Amino acid sequence: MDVEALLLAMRDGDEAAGSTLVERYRPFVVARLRGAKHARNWFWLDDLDDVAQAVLVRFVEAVRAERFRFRDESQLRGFLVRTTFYTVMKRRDQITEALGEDDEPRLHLLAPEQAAAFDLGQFADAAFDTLGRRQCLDELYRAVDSLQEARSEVLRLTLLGFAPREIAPVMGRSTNAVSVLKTHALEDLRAALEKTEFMTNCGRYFLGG
Amino acid sequence: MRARGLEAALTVFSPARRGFCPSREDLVSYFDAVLTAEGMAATRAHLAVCPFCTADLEDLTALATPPLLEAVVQIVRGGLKLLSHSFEAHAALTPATARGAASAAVELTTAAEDGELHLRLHRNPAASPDLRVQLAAVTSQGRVRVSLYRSDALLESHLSDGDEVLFAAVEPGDYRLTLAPVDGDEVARVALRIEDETAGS
Repeated sequence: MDVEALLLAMRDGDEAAGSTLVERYRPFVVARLRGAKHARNWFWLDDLDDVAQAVLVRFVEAVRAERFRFRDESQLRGFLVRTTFYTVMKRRDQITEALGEDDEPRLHLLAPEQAAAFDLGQFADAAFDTLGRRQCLDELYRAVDSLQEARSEVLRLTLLGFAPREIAPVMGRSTNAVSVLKTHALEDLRAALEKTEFMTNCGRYFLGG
Repeated sequence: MRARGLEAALTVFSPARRGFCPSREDLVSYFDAVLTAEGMAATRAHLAVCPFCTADLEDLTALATPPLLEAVVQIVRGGLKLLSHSFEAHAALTPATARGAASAAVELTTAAEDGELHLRLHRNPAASPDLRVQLAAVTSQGRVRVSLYRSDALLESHLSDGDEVLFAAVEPGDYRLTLAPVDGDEVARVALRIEDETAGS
């Protein structure tokens, strides 16, 4: 039976057809995962078979819900690649969220050279936002950039997700010194923002209640 | 305004939280070039300044790229010798090859997208080395086209039913071997460099 016939049978509830399709495409998904893990250093992804199974389950669900309609082999493989991407990214997000500041690995962290090159102003200009927060983003980032250099840098790295113990080697200071610097920087930031409408216009986005 | 409130602001407005990035669905649409012209331009501008989204796009690109396997094989007196390979993450090498000893054949086995890919590079003592490609269980999609390129120029292409393809008298040089189901996309590429004994030593 060809792929299209198997897909139609699976959509209509034929379990054997579903199993045949899943086993036919499992090696494809595993091989793509293995190649990408190697190329992208996904050291945090250790159970490729488990991810492949999740991808194939989503594929079966999509066929049964008619969210996937077969056109040709290339399109089917493309669908599997994209489903694999969403599954891997979700897995990474879950790992990241489950980790605290003191846990390793800190998957969301930029490399130091990337952090050094990160431009808050340019990011604000190119930000995506559907909640009307762009002006707030711009005001906050401009206030951070306006501070004295070391204080601006410690807040810039904090904005990029770095904890004091991770900022310490980047700035060549002890963790305690970074924490003290950050406290002073936050005081300066507060003073800078009080000259603007930031709290009035943007407080609802980060203050509870 | 208390410092704790400001710390919350730094968290909410952190680029690392991805709250100001395109969705993953939008990134995939950008990859597929199916966004509007404005959407493509806005995403391109964002990618230029956002290493987080750039990394996601590189992850997607890696998944969309057939595995590239690389091997450097040296022609030596009486046989072939595997000098280097990228098969660590992919393959179990045969014991003789894993020791790197000169032998009459170099064998590489790896998981391919449709099963297992078995490559045997075989020296023909009477001529230049033949490249003998054995395809084990690569053919769940039916017949496979095996193509050999040199400097992006196609040298030969064969259809196989899943047994063996022979490229005769392959001279030293850089080659690319591709495997694809008939009328389908590539399922594997192997970058291959065959060197003279003196060139590689």
